[in-house]
Amino acid sequence: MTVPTVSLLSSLAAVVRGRAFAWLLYFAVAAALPFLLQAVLGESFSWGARTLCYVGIYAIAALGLNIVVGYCGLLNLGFGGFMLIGAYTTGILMKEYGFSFWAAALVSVGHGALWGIILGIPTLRLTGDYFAIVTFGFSQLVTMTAMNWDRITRGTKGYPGIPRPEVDLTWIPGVSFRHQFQITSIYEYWYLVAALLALCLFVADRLLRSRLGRAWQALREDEVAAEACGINAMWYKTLAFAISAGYGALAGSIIATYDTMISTKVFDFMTSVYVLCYVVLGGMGTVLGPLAGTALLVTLVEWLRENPAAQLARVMSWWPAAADWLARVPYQPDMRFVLYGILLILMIRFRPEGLLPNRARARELHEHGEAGDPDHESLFELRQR
Amino acid sequence: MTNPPVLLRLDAVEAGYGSLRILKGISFEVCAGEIVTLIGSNGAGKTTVLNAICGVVPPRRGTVTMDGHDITRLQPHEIASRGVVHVPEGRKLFPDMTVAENLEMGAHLRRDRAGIRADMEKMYNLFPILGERRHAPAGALSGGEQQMCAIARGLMARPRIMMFDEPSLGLAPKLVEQIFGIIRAINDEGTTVLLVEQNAHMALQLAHRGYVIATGEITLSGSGSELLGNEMVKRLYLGEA
Repeated sequence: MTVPTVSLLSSLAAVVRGRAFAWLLYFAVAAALPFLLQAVLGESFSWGARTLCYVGIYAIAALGLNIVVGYCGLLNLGFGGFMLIGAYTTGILMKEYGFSFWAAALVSVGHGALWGIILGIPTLRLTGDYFAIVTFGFSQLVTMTAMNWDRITRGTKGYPGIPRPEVDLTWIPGVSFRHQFQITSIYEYWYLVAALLALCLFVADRLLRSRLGRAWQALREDEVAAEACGINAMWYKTLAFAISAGYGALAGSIIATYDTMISTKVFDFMTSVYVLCYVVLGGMGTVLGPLAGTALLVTLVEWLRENPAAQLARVMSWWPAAADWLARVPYQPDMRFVLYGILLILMIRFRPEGLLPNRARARELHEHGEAGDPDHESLFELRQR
Repeated sequence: MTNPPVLLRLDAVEAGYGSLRILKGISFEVCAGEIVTLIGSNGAGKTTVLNAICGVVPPRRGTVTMDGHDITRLQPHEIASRGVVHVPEGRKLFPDMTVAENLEMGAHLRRDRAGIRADMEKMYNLFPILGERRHAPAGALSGGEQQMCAIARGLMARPRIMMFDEPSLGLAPKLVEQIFGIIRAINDEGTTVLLVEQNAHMALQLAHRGYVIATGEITLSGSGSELLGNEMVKRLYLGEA
């Protein structure tokens, strides 16, 4: 190849690897996805679109949890609590006080972050398992409060009648069509979720590459050394906890308007575990990892509601014997969680760093105690000399 | 000759872990511009002294003053921000960050981007091997390279006093000499040094003054050459009959 061709190709490659291109790709894919789904799924489109929205919403939650679990290396088992706080805050503000979705979501994020700080200040001094246990206790406390505070949350009866978000474009000059409308169709919902997810991705990406992100990584790798560099461990961890809780509250507040009702069951301990699974399986400490993990696991769980063998039987009509056999495999929707568990075990065994791993995280999991460890190395070196 | 001002002073410092009392009232001082060494056998409390100064093991009694200010009860990061930099035993690098990222972490508290960049170049001149390996993860460096990286990371903070914990540990003699040469160079540029060493012979040759620590107490002090000539030091720490 001639020199200009090579430089053209390499600059093209740089553009493809660059962030501007990634964003372009994101918006193109996000815009096209509902139409693609309609073309591919046909009749079951509404199922596909609902799943798509859930992927988007839970991806926001996963990005938030990733800040504490992936960036800082702290295990938080109570993330569902922050989502629940966000959901009720948005529901109550919109229904009882006539807040717009945008104002309610903003207040919810602040409210979630506040509880992140309240939980973080006394507990972040704890290490490892103890910290995880306290976060678990927190989520139980939040759920119990929501279930028993009948006057405010209607308790176990659930909280129905939350209005849909409204979009108001009248403040933008020159917009001539549909100034004000309520988001109702599944298309509109997806675009709302995709836009908020874009914002969350942008913030998560900037955080990861900032001074703050570097400080979190330092704390994760060696807290004593980080403090010797002048990093205020408590402050940075509390900040991570607050931002993370804000993400959780935002996800909860979208779920509240999407379902138009809140049930405490949606935010029980298993929610915390699922979101944790999305993060771990996708790849801790990256921006795209939690997104990939959420997309895979949410889609899988939704798909497995129907007997996978029977679904396979339908496309196997060209081999009647096999199709007949597959169609008779017994199945219960709850069996999907067994399959889910098997998948997680296989992932942890063969790819503990996740689908889209962080360079440093992958090394932490695979190389420690081997070549990378100075204590093991210096002895060996001495023997060499 | 007027004495240089005292930079760091420990006054009857007691510290330990749990019910274990390691330091039983340690007092000493480091003057600005000096190299002071603490020597002693394994388990004498040398590392605990440094941990007590930098706040990792907060003293139970006594005071630590830096430049006349009491820093006894401050958090480790606050002590670091006062120019007290610790190069811990076993290097304690961020193993999955690159060499360059480790150096940047050292300058975490500084805001002068141009100055940080200039200092990084300075480090690469002082330690050419770090310059060559600036994009390698710190965990992949050899023991000697890691020690240099830890020293360079400490220097990036522009410390007023630099505390070294066993910098010679696990290194080949040639490398030890190189590291000690670097410590002297750092001191020549005006940084005060507190050096904790088991390699008493080399430490006392390098230091202006030294203290001998045994079972949590200072048992002897003097100039480097005085201690080198002391019969007890010779017998106990230099291995001479």
